[in-house]
Amino acid sequence: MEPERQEVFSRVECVARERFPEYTVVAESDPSDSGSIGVGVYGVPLAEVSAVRNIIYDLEEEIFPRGEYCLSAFVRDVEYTRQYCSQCMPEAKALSIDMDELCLQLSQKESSKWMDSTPINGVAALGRYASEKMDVSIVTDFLSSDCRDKWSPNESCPSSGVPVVENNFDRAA
Amino acid sequence: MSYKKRSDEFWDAAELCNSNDLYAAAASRFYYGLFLAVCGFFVTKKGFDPNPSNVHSRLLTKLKEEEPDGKRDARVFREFKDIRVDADYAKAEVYKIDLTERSKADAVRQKYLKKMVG
Repeated sequence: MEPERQEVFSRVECVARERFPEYTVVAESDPSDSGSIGVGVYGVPLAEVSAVRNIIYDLEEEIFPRGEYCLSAFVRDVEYTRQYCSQCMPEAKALSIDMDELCLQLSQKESSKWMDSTPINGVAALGRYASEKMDVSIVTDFLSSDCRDKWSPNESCPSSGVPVVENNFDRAA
Repeated sequence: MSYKKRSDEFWDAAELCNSNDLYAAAASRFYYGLFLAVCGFFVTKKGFDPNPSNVHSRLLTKLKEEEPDGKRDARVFREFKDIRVDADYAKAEVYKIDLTERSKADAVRQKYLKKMVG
């Protein structure tokens, strides 16, 4: 990507992250239209998807008042976000995790509740924590039963085929 | 190509798909049904270049900037555009497009089909 476009992507990503601190946000290419910049927002509860989408459309006028770029809203719901490993999730590279907070959450064993609100951060962060501090089998005990089924250490990402443990759990940092 | 004929055909196909639980196919055809109506109007009446390069964002910009209710119409247009990108390219699940959303999009579609021949 040329530097000027990269700069615009970074700007979009930065503003969108400020607007959606509770979700994982990454600027993406719109695969069908190079004149648009995609804003991927991951882990959004289904009921919020439409509202988030519309906030992104409002953001466009704020960031590009002269219509320099269109923003495409790629809002992914919680279930989608849970299904893919970090290699297949572009936001994984953009994860910003407060490890102290994570440790606190883990120690309080509240991760099921926590996972529901921040699933990809939760899974990836748990993975990093697991690789550094804990046995993976212990970590999976913290996951909700629904998520545990999808993120079993023996399973592979349905897209890349990479085993979840080797992929997400090791390289989520 | 008749923009109207193809727009109507895509819209009908989308309705069929949507009512048969084929949501990704429906989303894709709903969008192109809408796209062809708006594009047809701008090509016919405003000399818009339908060259595929960045055509979606170029059309959106025209819609927002040149039509009296363009911003409102563009909001509907882009929502269907983005759902369609998911339907065609992403692994994301595409959900049934409900009657309210479809009605809004069809109203925009019909409006630009009318303006195209008016």
